[in-house]
Formats: sequence, structure tokens, C-alpha cells
Amino acid sequence: MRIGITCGGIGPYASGDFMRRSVQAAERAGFAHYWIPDHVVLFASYPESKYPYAGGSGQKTPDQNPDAPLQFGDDTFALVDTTVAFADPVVAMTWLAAATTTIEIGSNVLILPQRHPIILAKELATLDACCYGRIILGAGAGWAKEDFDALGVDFTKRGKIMNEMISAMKTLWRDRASSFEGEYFRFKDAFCYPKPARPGGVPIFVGGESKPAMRRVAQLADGWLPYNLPVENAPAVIAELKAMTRDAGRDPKSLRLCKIVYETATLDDLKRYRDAGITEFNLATNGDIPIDDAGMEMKFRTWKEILVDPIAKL
Amino acid sequence: MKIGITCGGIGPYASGAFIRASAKAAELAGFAHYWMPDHVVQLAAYPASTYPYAQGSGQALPEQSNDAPLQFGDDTYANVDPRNPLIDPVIGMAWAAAATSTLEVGTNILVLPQRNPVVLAKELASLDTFSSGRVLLGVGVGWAKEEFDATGADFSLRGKRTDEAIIAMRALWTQAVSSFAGTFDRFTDVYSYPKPCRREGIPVLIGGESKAAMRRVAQLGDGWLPYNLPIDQAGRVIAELKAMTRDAGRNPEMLRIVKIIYSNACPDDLRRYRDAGVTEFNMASSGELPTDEAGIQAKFAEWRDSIVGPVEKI
Repeated sequence: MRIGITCGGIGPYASGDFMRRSVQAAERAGFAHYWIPDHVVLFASYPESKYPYAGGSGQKTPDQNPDAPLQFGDDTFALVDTTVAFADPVVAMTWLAAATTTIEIGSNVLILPQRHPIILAKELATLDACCYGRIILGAGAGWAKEDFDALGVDFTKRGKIMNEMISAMKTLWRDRASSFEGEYFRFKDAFCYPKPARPGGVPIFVGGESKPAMRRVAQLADGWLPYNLPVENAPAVIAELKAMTRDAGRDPKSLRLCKIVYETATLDDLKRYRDAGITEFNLATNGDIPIDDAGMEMKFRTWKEILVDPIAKL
Repeated sequence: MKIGITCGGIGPYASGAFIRASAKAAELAGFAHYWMPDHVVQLAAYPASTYPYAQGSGQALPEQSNDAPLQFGDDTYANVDPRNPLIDPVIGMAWAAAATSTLEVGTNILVLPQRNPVVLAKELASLDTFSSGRVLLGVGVGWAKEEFDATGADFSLRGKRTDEAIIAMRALWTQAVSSFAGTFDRFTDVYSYPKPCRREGIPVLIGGESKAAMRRVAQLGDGWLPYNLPIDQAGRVIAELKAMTRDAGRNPEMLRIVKIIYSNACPDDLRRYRDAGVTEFNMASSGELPTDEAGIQAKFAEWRDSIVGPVEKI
């Protein structure tokens, strides 16, 4: 199996220099993908919203440096400081892709309803063509109502908007002249070129463990990015997802299921995830990587030994 | 004086390989900036719109091969085939910036009212930090009603939206905690980080020669990107622009005025533009460059001698 990494994009890890060097180190260490998070804007507090990741990944929370910009164990959205840099994922992905040649580059997750489907489709198609088909769009519906308000997008409609966007973008990526007739978006005979390098377009992986998120995977997506999925629940939940996918008339075997894990994950747990149907992993780190070259190289060498190589043999 | 180049982004010049190679070659040849065009989607025909660039740049047209994707002399929008790829400009700039270290990267022009300013501000601020402050945002209000219809943006409100978007983006770029209350965009106490490298934000240069565009330059712009400005009119028009800028309570001497020219422009003409107040040039090229790396390098070496060198002495 393969494992990717989430380590760039926030605070000291949002600089172009850190991202370039860390993605090159990740590629050399054999990581399969490199993932970037998304908050277009931030607020000092989120009184109208409920942070959905308070449960963590369903595994033991790893030891984290107290000044890591994102604390996995916190029960509210826990950016230590709202004035830290939080890079735009699409531009960051471009920067990362330009520095590498084989590693896949993805968002985990980009808040889809906060973007425009035609603009985003064109951006990602351009990028996918530039890097010969290495882009993955990890997309979520979003949880922070305050962020939606700032962007002028109706929070209560985010699920429907997201569904329309996925269909609209796939049309733009696939068809010679693209037409779409939805409630929120409509266009007729629009030419959107370049097309992505990958046939069928940029793969869309949906994040979230709610029923609507799983329905979206079953009906529309190319993969799933579960975060809070404890290992003992994984078989039942994935079996259900596959049944939903079959019910939607699609082949569940074509889905890529990429589970977020921490560095503390044991090989035994990873095997159990594999047996439950997980196809690949994404190592979430924050605060673990030294910024200097030698420290970074050492860290990636360790990860290669304890994670990447053993997982390759799974 | 300094000169930049517009040569990437359309047709055979839209590939990542071409953009990378030509941006590097441009930097090596001494070009100051590298500009990307924008059409988010294209239509087969534009019956509801008037193409505003039918007059060209106001100079003698250069020789162009028949299969150049953009024909400068045509009186309708003349992308030879709507299926010619036309890159997203933000991704194109990021790709070019990642391949270079001193070249400024810009849009000429990005159709601002088709984008969400909060998202665009974040994208460009991220790129500006990655590239150590090399991003220029050239904007226009757009002319193709059909493209506005496809993106769901109101063509009749494009001027107002452009004005608001510039002010909103500056609030996000320069305020520690940003607020803006406009007709189309409004947000209160949002954190948008990273900030651009330059304290005053990313320079916003405005395209177009209409009175409305010139008013926008005078009131809101960091510069102007004139295309159709014949040399014998430049003195009078720029004097008028400067008077309008003074009337708006701003210093016209800080404006960057970047005139588009063709590769056949003679130094004497460029001197007259300089005397009229143009501060730098942008050479528009379509169909002149080969797409192989050796050919690209050879052509740029030729331009270094025939154009960049002579312009530097002006």
C-alpha cells in the first residue's frame, strides 16, 4: 500500500520554501501524495459553528509540539493564532507540483461550495495538464458558517451547491462543449480547455464521515477521505459505503479510500484498515518537521523507515 | 526602461513545459515581467458582445504565422479555435513564478468581476509570498457577455463589481483584521493570511482605454495597461490620465504605465512613448516562438539583442 503526507500550508509550514523542500523530501522518501488544507479566511471565534473534527482521527492522538499551529486533540477549531499564514490550496498545489515529478498533489480538503465551479475547474485542469495528471481534488462541504458568510455563500445550501459543482466540473473536464443546467449554476456550450491530463478529469475525493458525505462519495465521487473512522468501525462503515455505491449503479472497487492516520499508527492497525477496504493512507502531521534542511531530511528518512517502506509491503 | 513579455497561455503556448521554458528564457534574456491572459471559458461565437481590441495596439502589426492562436489584426475575437487551451492565469503565473527567481509575473488581463475577490486575494497573497513579492494583478472588466452568462456574473454590473473587488482585496491584503461593506461583497473582522510581501498589497494595474477604465486607474489603480494607444495620441491621453489622478487626490507619478507593443516596435517609437509618460513595456507575441526548448532559447537570445538591450538603453 501507499501513504501520503499532510504537512504544509499552515503557519511556519506555509512558506513557499518549506513547501518546496518538504514536497521534494516527501517524493524522495516515497510518499505517494502531499495534501494541503483550506480556510480561505479565518475568524477569531466560531460561535455559530460546530467543529466536526473534535474526535480526532479515531486513533490515539500523537504527541505534538505545543506550538504546532494545529492541535489534533482540541475540541474546538484550534489554530493557535488566527494571524498565522494559511496558504491557498490551489496555488500551493501548483507550487508543489512545479517542484516535483511523480508525487500526487491534493487538497484535504478544499471547501468546495466556497469556490466557483468554472473557475476551479479551469484552475485544476490547467494545473493537471501542467504536471501531467498528478492532481487530486479532496473536497468537503465545510463546517464554518462564518467563513461562508464572509464569502457570500449560503451555508444552508452548501450540500446542494457541492453536488452541482461536482457534476458541473466533470462536464467541463470531459465534454468538448460543456453544458450544465442546475439550480445554482448553468451554462451552455462553453469550451473549457485545457482538459485535465487524466482521462475522466481530476479525481474528486470527498471528505467527511456524515451520511450526506458518504452518499456524495457513492453517487458522485472518485474516492473518500475519512478522518474520524476508528479502526473497529471501519469494516462496517466501508461495507455500507460500498453498498451505497453499488445502489447508485457504480462500481465500489473503483473508489480510492484514503484514511488519515497519525505517525503513531501501528502496522497492525493499518492492516486492519486495509482489510476493511482502505486503499491508501495520508499521514497527518503538524509541528513535527524541523524547518532546516538536515532536520527535515532526517525526519523524512525516519518516516521512510517506520512508515513508507513497511506500508509498501502491506 | 524595462520590457516584459506576453507569450504563454494559449494554444501550443499553454503547456506547462512551454510556460516553464519560456519564463526561464525570458528571465535570462532580461525581460522584466511575464504576463498571462484570461478567458475562463470560451464560446464558439460572441453575438451579444463587441470585441474591443479590433484596432490592435495602434502600431503596425507584426508578421504572424497563420496558425498563431491569437491574430492581432482580426476584428473579432480571434482565438482560431475555441478548443485551443487557454490557461487559468493564476495557475499560469504560479507555474511561471515557480520556475524563476526575479521575473515579475502578472495577468494581462484577468477579468476581475468573474472571480470572488476574497478567494482571489488569498490566492494571490499566497503566490506573492511564495515568489518573494513578484506578483502583478492586471485586471479588466471584461467584454464578452457570453462568458459572464456562463459564470453567472452580471455583465451589466461588471464595472461596479470591479471597483468593489479592488477595494475588498486591498482590505484583505493590508488590514490586520479585515472588514469591507459593499453592495456585492461584505465581510467583518476576517483574518486573511499570509499577507502579500509588499506592505501596500499586490499592485493592481488596470487594462482598457475607455473613460471608465481611466477613471478606475486614477481612483484605484497602481498602474495602467494600455493596449490600443497610438503613439501620436499617447502624450495627450496620458496627460489626461495624470490630471484625473491628481483630481482624485493621488500622485500620478507613482503609476506604472505599461504599454503593450509588438516585436516590430522601433526604439524611436518607444522613446516617444517614454516621453509621453509610459514607464515600461510589454511585448505581445503570438505565433513567433517555437515550442521546443532549444528554439525557445534561441528566439529569446535574439530578442535580448534586438529588443531588451535597446529598450534598456532608452
